Amino acid sequence: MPNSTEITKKAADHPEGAERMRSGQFFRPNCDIVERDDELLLLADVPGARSDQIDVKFENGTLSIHARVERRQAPETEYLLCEYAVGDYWRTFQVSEAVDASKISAEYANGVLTLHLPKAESLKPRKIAVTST
Amino acid sequence: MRLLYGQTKQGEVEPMDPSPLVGLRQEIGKLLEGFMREPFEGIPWPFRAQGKWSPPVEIVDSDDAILIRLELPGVDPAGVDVTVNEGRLVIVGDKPQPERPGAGEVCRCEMRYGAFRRSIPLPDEIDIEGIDASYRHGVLSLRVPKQRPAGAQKVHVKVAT
Repeated sequence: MPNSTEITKKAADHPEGAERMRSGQFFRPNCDIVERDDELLLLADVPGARSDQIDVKFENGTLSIHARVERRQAPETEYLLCEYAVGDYWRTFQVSEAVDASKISAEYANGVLTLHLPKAESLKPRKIAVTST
Repeated sequence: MRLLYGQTKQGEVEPMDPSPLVGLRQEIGKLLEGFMREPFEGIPWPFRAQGKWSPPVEIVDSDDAILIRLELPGVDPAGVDVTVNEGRLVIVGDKPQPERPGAGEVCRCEMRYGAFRRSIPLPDEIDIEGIDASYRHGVLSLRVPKQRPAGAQKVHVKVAT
């Protein structure tokens, strides 16, 4: 079986000012984003990371996700087949909706990070009752 | 292949708003990616896009075992089936699309949902009974112990110099 060089993860360059990690390479996690009436729901695949290794930041309308992942094999390991690389995840989003930053919550289970970004009160849909006179 | 992967540039932030081209680009990328990985295995290729996908794998040949890892984020380990059949290790499971009540617009959809299958050929000298599987933080790890051939003994051969 030949060594495969095809890597199925997308690379992400680290942004200016960010600390360079040991591998020097970040991967861009796959994300699903769903807009609900009262919140934005974001799911990110970060397999291999522990919950205490995940950093989520929201600053000036920019949401950043950083998950550290420990190496699972020694660096000199020879693979029979290697279709993905192991490394940290990094991804940033510009959030155009007004989000209530103080109420952002996150859960982590089975390698998937779930973020709830509640919309600010002023943007939630409101039903205005029409009264007849 | 690389060109399709839209890398994140230095300091670049992505908009959360949907673009009609994003989905199309992803679809083309997925089709090509699947085709490059397993062009003719399993189901016929034209039907692959309809659901079945194969998770990426890493295989290491260590001294006493073959170590196999698959990245399966968001998969319920109880629903993953690992079998050995005709010398192949087959991993089958399903990643159901979650129900999202009250969901409006889906802005981005990059994760794969649906049934997956991966089949890995195994060498003959393995201990099928001793296969061990564990799932942690979205990574499925399998350990397939090697079997020493019965009656074989270590023999030291002196090399004359």
